[in-house]
This record gives sequence, structure tokens and C-alpha cells, in this order.
Amino acid sequence: MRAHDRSYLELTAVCGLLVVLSACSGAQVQMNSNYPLPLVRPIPVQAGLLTDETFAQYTFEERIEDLGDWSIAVGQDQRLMFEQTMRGLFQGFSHVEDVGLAASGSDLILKPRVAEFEISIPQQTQTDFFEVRVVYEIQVMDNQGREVMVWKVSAYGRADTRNYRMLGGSESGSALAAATRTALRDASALISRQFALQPQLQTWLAERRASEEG
Amino acid sequence: MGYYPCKTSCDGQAMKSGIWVLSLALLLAGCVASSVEVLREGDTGIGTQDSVVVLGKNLQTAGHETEIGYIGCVGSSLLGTETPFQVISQERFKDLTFPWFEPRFAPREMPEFSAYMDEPLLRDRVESLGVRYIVWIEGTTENTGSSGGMTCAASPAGAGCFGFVSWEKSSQYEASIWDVHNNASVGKISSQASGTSFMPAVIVPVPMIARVQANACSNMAEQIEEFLAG
Repeated sequence: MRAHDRSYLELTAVCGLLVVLSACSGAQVQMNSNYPLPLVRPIPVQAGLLTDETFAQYTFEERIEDLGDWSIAVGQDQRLMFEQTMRGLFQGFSHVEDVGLAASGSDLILKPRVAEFEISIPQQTQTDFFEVRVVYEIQVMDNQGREVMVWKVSAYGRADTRNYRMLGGSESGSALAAATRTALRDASALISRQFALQPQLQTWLAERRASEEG
Repeated sequence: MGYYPCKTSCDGQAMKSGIWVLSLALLLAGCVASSVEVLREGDTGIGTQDSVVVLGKNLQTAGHETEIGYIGCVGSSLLGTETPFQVISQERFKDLTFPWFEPRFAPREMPEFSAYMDEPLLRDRVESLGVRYIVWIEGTTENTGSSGGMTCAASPAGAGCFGFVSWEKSSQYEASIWDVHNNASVGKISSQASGTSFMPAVIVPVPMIARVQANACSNMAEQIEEFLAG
């Protein structure tokens, strides 16, 4: 084999490998977004947010056959999203370390956890969209640690890959981050507009009002 | 209303035999055919203190989403027009009115928006921003076809390509305009554009791109400005 034939074959092999790797490499996403304060009438209670390490450090990971490894480090973002949501949703807000701490000044404590987290990528759905679905299970307690309700919030976000082409960096990573951000905003929107409508919470608020008046 | 921005550059160039493919490409490159239609349903007018918000009608339903770039292009083109009104970006408006214009809750029709305006917090925020008109845009730019072929090769002695490819794009956008002061839908503007891009290659590929979406954007912004001015 002549030298330039060998170089040509090597170059072709390297190019082929790069194409295969780029198609199968997945994406590792580190979220770092801002979330707006909801513009809603605040519920007249002091609320506390209780999060554990699992929630604050949550990283979604999935190996999709033939399509690579995908991960989204979403812990910090979801903690910030809950913080912003609660700052707008309640008259007062603070982080709390434990339940049952009447001295913390919180009337109501929310403890969220990730119940489900799913992604779908364009190669699976034959569309241009990255999609993210996340279900939060929110345990709502009074300041004595008594459960008021457990509420499941199912949020969805998607991002069109066509919006993230030619931006530099990883197109898949950018689109997946955008889909995740949209899902977290959707969760915040749902909580902002529907938390106060939950029957168990309305009952708790009515009882609290009655005991304050009585 | 329709026009062909490349008409002048496409006329009167002599084609030489032997390089007719290249000449044809040069003659036609970048040509975009476009048209705009306006449907007026109410009177309009705008002052220097008034703001306009341009929003993509991306409601996470089936089908493609209106490109973020197109929404931004229409917004920034409106900022550059002669009429001195304010333009609020989609991101800023959606953050400041969160969660009312998120995909799950965004008003689909004018009556739904009117009901939203009964919420004092939202009404006050929209008023404080000076929002006079909301422009909802939907539509996309799609690849509608391609032809030709190109072969590229690389060796230690060098690399090169040979061939000719062309592809067509078509843009179709519609803007629905809501008058926030009068709680009324005041009209619709649709903008269509299509064009063919070429890439001949004799060693080096030379892309000649038809700026279809940019054309649909500038036409749309021009018409929105005229429409709002009344």
C-alpha cells in the first residue's frame, strides 16, 4: 500500500469515527438558569421550603441504546425554581432545615421531591424536539409536621432543535437544557396558579382563619 | 403586495457557454419571491410612550414552533423603524408577566385575554409596561426540496469538491395583532417568501444563499409598523 493511500484510509477512518461519535455521544447538561417571580396574589401565610441533598443535588441520568449517555444536573435549578415560586406565592418565605419547627416562623412547609423525570430525544420520536417531563411530589405540612396534603405536579417542556443550530457548542445540550428550563417554568406556573385551589389547602386555610378569629 | 428584491441583479447578464451552470447559479442566487397580505379588523394608532410585544405562538402543540430567531428578528426590526414606539422582548415580557403567558396558560383568543385583564396584578403590570399591542406570530421556514449532488475528497496532496447542489426554502408566517387598550383583535398580517439557494463547487464550494427567512422578517416588520401607525 502506498503511503498516501494509507493516509487517505486513516483520514477516512478518523472522519467516520468522528461522525459515529457525534451521533452517539449524548449530552451532559449543567443547568444554570434564572426563574421569574410569579405574578399572583400571595397566600397570607409564612411558608418554608425544605429540601434535602437528594433534591438539591439531583442529576437525571439515562443511557439510551445506540444514542449515548444523557445527563442533566438539575438540582440547583429546581431548588431555585421552588424558591422563586414560593417567594411570589406566599406572603413570607424562608428556607427551613427541618419540619416541626414552630420557632422557624413558618406556618406551612413544602417539601418537594422528584417523583419522575423523563426525557425523549429527536431520534426516538422522529421529530425535531427534545422533550422533558418531570413530576414533583410536594409534601405540604404545618409547622407541627402534620401533613396537610401531598400534591403531584406534572410538568412538561420541549425545545425545537432548529432553534439551537449554529449557536456553537452542543446543539443537543443546548436544546435539552432549554427543554428542561421550559419544564421547570411549567412546574412553577402550575404551582403558582393551582396551589391555592387545592381543596385540602383551602380547608387548612379556612380552619386556620377560624382559629385565628376564634 | 409582492416584490422580487433581486430582480435587478437577475436581469441582463450574459451567459457564457462552457460555464453555463455557474452562470445560472450566479444569475439566480439569492433570489427571493415574497408577498404580504394584510387584513384589517379595527382602527390602530400608536404613540411614542406605547409599547409593542412580539410573541411566538408556541403552545407546545403538534407541529414545528416559530423560530426564536424569527421572533427576535421581527422585534429588533420594529425597533429600527421610523415610528418611535417601544418594543419589549418576548423573554422580558414573559418573565414580567409570569406565569400568564407560559405555553400552558397563554391566552389563545382575545376573549381569554380580556378575562385575564380582570386580574388586577396582571392588568397593572401590563399597563405599567405601556403595552398597547401584542403581536402573536405563528409559522415557520421549511426546506421544501433539494437537488443535485457533490463529491468531496481529501488526500495528502490536497482536498476538493466537485458538483452542484440547490435547495429551496419557503417561509410562511402570520401575525395576529391585539389591541390591549380596547381589548380587541385589530387585524392579521401574513408574510410568505420562498427562494432557492445554490452551491456550485469546482474544488471550492461557493454557497449562494437565498435569505428567505430574513426577507419574510423584514417584510413582516415593515407591514406591522405601517399597520400600527394606522
